[in-house]
Amino acid sequence: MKFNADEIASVIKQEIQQFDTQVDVREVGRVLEVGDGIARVYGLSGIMAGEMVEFPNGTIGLAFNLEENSVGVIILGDYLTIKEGDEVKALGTLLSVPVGDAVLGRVVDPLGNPLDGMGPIQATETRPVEFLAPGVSERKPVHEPMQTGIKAVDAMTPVGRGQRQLIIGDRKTGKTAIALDAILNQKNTGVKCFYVAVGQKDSSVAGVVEVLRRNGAMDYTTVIVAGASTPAPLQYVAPYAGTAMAEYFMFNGQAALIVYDDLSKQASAYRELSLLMRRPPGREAYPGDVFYCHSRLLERSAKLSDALGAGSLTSLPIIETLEGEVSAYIPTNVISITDGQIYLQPDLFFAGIRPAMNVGISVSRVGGNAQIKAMKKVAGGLRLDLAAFRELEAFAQLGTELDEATQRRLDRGYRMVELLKQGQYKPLDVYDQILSIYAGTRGHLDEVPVVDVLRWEAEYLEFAKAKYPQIREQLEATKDLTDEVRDLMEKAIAEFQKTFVTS
Amino acid sequence: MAGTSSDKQTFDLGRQRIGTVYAKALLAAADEAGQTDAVLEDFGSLIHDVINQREDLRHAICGGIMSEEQRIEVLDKAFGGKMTPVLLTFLKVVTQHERQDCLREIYNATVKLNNERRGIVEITATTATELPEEMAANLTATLQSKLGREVVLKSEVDPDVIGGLILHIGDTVFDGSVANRLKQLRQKALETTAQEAKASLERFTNSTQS
Repeated sequence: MKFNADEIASVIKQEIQQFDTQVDVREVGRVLEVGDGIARVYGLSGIMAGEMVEFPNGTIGLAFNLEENSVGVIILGDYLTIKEGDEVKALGTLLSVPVGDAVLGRVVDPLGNPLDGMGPIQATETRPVEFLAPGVSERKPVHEPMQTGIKAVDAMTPVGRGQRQLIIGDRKTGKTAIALDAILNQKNTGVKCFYVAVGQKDSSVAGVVEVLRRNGAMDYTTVIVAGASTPAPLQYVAPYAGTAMAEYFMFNGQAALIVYDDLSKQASAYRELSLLMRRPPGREAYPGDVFYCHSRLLERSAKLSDALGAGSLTSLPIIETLEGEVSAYIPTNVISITDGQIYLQPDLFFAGIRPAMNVGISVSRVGGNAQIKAMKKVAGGLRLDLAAFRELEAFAQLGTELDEATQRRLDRGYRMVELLKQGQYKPLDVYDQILSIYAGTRGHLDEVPVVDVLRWEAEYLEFAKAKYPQIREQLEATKDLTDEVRDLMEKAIAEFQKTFVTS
Repeated sequence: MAGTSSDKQTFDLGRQRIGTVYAKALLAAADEAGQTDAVLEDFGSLIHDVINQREDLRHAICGGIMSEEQRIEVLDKAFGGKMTPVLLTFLKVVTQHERQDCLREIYNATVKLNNERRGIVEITATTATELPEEMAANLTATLQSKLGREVVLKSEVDPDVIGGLILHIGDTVFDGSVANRLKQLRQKALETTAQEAKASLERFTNSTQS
């Protein structure tokens, strides 16, 4: 391929001939001081809050603080080449990002610039980064399931399309792994996924992108990165930018899933900005409107009414706690905003129970309506049973003599805990989940040694797939646990039990 | 030069705020005495001809080396009889409050306030070469008729403009300079060329497929 120089020259020539001279009218101000990602600007008397400004080096800023004599601007990009006295131009528009199919499969920064070296993004549309959440009449209750592919989550804290489910836990407890599994499980479902990485090591983000690519999930996923080395303003804007990209699909009648990893870092970035802007600090030095910062972000996740196309945006915000402290400021805020939380605990994680979900305090406030009927019947009391088992287990450790009924409950509990363990990046189909959880809750595993439970499950699923495909067909057709299906499952389990060899 | 503020734009917000407060007081006092124009002229002359010209005098008037009594004495000796009494008293008050270092800001604020209440617009015209007198007068007249307000034109020379004219009216800039047009043209040409190059690439790949 070679370019024709004459052709290009003629294009430029044409452009020059057609270039009409218009007087450029702009509103300007001058930089008073600059540093740490913010600038104080004199002038710009007609600027509005949130409006974009441009610095001489082409960097974009946002009017953040409007004061009597100056304007506080957050700089989205390189602030090291901006000098005192530079002319700042008001652009008269709000910050917006490219949206649409063109951003899928890409790794972008919060302004929509590509970071993956795959050329410019050919998006035809843009959306404002800050957008008002849909109102009451524009929504409808969450009723469709958003399968995460994780047995423990789908059975006990189910997530529906349009729900906000918080993933909370200490560092290194598998928070990102749950979110990634949820993304991987959206393959072939038409759900568009967005992964917003805020304040993370670039190496971790590269790892995430690699996992997504290897599992074929990059085709429907966009990764928005504001790494630990990017200035605080970009980290603060990143979740809103990601939401704007995801919203496009919601408003077009499609389903989208967005993961904010993590919002505690965004809160820190916002705190940094606010303190530099001299906004008064409040609890834990966060500004007074840090709650609004998160609530207006998470409110944008919704299930739209049929009149608006019934699109949905599900969000999985992640919060990192320190030493399991869920009563800190940001965790309590986000817990109260979201529709439920998945609480991950380090001691469970190190005991080998992965996902390390604490079933006692993990809840899903709306997801139950979104479970398919069969799953609801199979896993109905599972969460409470497991929570009761945990108490009983603690009691049994005292070494007292146990009656037979208690021992049976303990045995059942051990096996259920074992059954709910799941490998990373191995999301399970919801119908397979029903098969294995049915076997567990109905006591068919009680005679199987605990160490063999996972092997039993894997072999049973293979067996059912080969010998009893009609179970799955009927489940898919009715999505309900009919007597017919139940009988078939009982039959399959009985037949399989005969062939299973314990180790 | 009574209508234009000092050449150097200062960015000390604290001092500017102080300047505005004193300016309001000065204007009110001058109005009461009915000597607004005379006060402004004298003040302008003090800033432009004395403080901006002579380093040593600036230190004597604006500096804080001398004691309060000495400063007042100097003011009396230097300006007594030559200056409108309102301004002299004002200078004494300022020096008593140890705000003599803010004189320039006070002057700027006074001019600005006075212009504002009289409906005068201060416009800065930046050109590549010195604006000829005739042209400046012409420009002032045109602007006055367009804006419907009295215009004070300040002229600035900046060779980087190349040609044409840039008008600063408050925070708004009307940029009709050659430099800006060249910049726009460059951007436009770059965009179109990139688009054209991409289109031709697509044409190439599509034709091989079909």
